[in-house]
Amino acid sequence: MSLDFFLEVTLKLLKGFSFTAEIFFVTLLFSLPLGLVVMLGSRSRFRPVALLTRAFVWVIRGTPLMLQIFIVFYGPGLLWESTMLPRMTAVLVAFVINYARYFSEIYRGGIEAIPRGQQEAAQVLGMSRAGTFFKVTLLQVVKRILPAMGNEIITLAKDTALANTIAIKEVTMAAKEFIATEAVLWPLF
Amino acid sequence: MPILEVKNLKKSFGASRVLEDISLTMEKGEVLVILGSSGSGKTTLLRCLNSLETPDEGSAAVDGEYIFGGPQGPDSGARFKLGLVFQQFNLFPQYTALGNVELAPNMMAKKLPDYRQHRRDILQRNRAKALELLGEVGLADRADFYPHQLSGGQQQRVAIARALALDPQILCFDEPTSALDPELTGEVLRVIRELKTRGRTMIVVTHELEFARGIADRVIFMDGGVIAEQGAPEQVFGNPSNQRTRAFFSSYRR
Ligand SMILES: Nc1ncnc2c1ncn2[C@@H]1O[C@H](COP(=O)(O)OP(=O)(O)O)[C@@H](O)[C@H]1O
Ligand SMILES: [Mg+2]
Repeated sequence: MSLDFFLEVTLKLLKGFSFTAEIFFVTLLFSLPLGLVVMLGSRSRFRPVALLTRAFVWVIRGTPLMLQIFIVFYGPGLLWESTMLPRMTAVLVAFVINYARYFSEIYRGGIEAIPRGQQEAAQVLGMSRAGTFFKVTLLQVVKRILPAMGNEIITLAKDTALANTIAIKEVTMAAKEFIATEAVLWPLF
Repeated sequence: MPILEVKNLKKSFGASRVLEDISLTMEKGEVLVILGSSGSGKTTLLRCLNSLETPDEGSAAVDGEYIFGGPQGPDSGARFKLGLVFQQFNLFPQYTALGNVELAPNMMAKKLPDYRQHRRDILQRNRAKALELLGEVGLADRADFYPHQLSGGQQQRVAIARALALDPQILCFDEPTSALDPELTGEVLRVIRELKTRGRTMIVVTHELEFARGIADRVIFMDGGVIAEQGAPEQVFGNPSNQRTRAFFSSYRR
């Protein structure tokens, strides 16, 4: 096995890794704030907004990520005969939506775990709703959700491997190709 | 003019009528004790007065200013003339005792027109006052402790200091010692007695009958959402005229 060949393999693997990293970071960048929007929506006192967001959460939660990727990727083409989204974009959109709903539920759990009495105490003390959120609620929520957020981010790192279902060249995919074409096993390890 | 005037207050939750036509008045400096078995509507009454529940009907005015039911509509700011001490303390866990007491005054100070020029003076004044209040409830040496480092009795005393920080004209207590171990109730009751000697106007819901008898200027006995009996403590405790009041006392006295 020549050094050239080794370099070539390593480069391709790195390229695959850059896809994985891109999916990972872009998903985080957009799904963290989008999750906040979804959470606020589901807690909205305006009924239609609350119902709509909860329905959205319910659907996303009830379907596998793989299916969502397929739908975002092939859906627009099938429905409106428009051109398909670029593969990478489709994957990113599906990931962001999927993780926004995970994060929204973690946020919601964090907020709902805080005893209601604290907000009532703040209210009787004449503190505004916004003031109460920033001065009383927020820090406690952050502290409470950190472990769950950590778990979810690890899951995301693993989920990026799913992207190969529509043949974005990420690490495992690149490795598999080598195994298939060159009949060697080591790139996987 | 009475400091508090409640007229024909009614409140239902769905089909259950929890308060039926409550009317009462209080004079400045008076301590009103509310007795009644569980579910008689005592908490709901205090929550309505403190704007945590929206009453269905009726009005309440503090010092002549309406809290609800007034001609000028709700929320004239009069509701901040009342304070409430909860059964469960409800302290803010990420703040020290001192932080709990000064948080609301500091936030309120931001609305002052001269806040920006005099920020340091204002904050310093609030801190001095918070420390003084902690001293009044006997916790000057616990100012930098967090709630989880304090006993239940100490937490409740911090909650009392916190409620006092906004100078409420009437301070309400909803079973302030019910969540405490028996050996911790004494220190909290002592603080409330002391507030009375300083002339505080208070509404106290409690099941501590001996304490109630000692501190009350007037006693109200509630039953099924109505005021079943009211009068001087000697009369209500010594010679209750209402059948339900008698039953209530006899169930507590054994
Ligand atoms: N938020 C609520 N929703 C429905 N029912 C309530 C609510 N709050 C209180 N109640 C009912 O109102 C009645 C009076 O409750 P409460 O005011 O807490 O009585 P007390 O403080 O005298 O024990 C009870 O039957 C209780 O179940
Ligand atoms: Mg109660």
